[in-house]
Amino acid sequence: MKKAVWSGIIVAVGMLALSTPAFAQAAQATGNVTVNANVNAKAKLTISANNISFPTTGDPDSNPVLAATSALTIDVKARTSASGNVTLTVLAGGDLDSGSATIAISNLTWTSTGAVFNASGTSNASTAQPVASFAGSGSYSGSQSYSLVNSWAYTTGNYTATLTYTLTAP
Amino acid sequence: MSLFSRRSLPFLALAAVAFTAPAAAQTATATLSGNLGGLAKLSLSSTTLSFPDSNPDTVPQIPAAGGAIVITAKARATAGATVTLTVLATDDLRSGLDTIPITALTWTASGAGFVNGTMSRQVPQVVGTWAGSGVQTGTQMFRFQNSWAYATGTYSVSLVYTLVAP
Repeated sequence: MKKAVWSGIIVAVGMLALSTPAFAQAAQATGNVTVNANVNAKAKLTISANNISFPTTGDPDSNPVLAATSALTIDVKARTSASGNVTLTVLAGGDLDSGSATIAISNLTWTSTGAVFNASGTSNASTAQPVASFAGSGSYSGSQSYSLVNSWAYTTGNYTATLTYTLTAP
Repeated sequence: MSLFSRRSLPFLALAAVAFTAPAAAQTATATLSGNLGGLAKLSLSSTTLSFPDSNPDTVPQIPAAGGAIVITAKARATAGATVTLTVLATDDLRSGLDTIPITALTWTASGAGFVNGTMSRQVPQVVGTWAGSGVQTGTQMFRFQNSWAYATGTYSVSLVYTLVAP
């Protein structure tokens, strides 16, 4: 009889203990989400002005090189592969011309500033000339200051030429 | 010989009295115990999250293509206990050898108890917390920080949501 009573008490205490919060296990549920993001090649070129002017030619002896009235600010943004070679080039549409008179485009040169910009260059109408280049994606700014060789040989006139800039992000 | 002897008659009389008396009332208490353990159930409206390619200048923050994820968190917990839903990225966004820090992934939340956050691959980030048992529904709108600096590619990562009901 005593044994049965004690067994009952032990069972009751055990059940009570197991039903307390201390013995409750935390419940957990999980869920998974897969994220995909597409990053494609892109190129964006911004040039501060779409025309370059030179002052009226002075005396070639005292002004052998004419500086453009203002420098161009160039912003290049490109997204490419990690090892992709981004290039910015400029190609002249032809020589500087004023009616039938021309000045060879090679007389138009420039100097640049900016991390990825070439220090200097000479315009060309047949082969695109490098202005800047860098590896991989990124955004860069630089400036380009044009100069025109002055000469007594030039025929008077108002000369123009078109320059085409191309930014390529492979 | 009669069926009952003289000695047996008094006992029979007592027995007859006993059986004809009203039954004595007796009560007993039974305690019914049901063990309602902790329970957690998590439902996500989508298991994929896609971000289309966009120009970083025009779309600096790319919203997820499918819109917000609807989250339903059901929990049975001890009274007053804090139920927590967290999310943890398994890695940075990866495309081969190229990576984009997972912190480029952020979200805004709606719904009681749901909070905004920035993804992490090291520390589970809280998506929502609630007190006690209940069913909670909210949304999580993800955005991907766009940049010119990223290398081209299709980047992927897994997010692991965990709902804990203590």
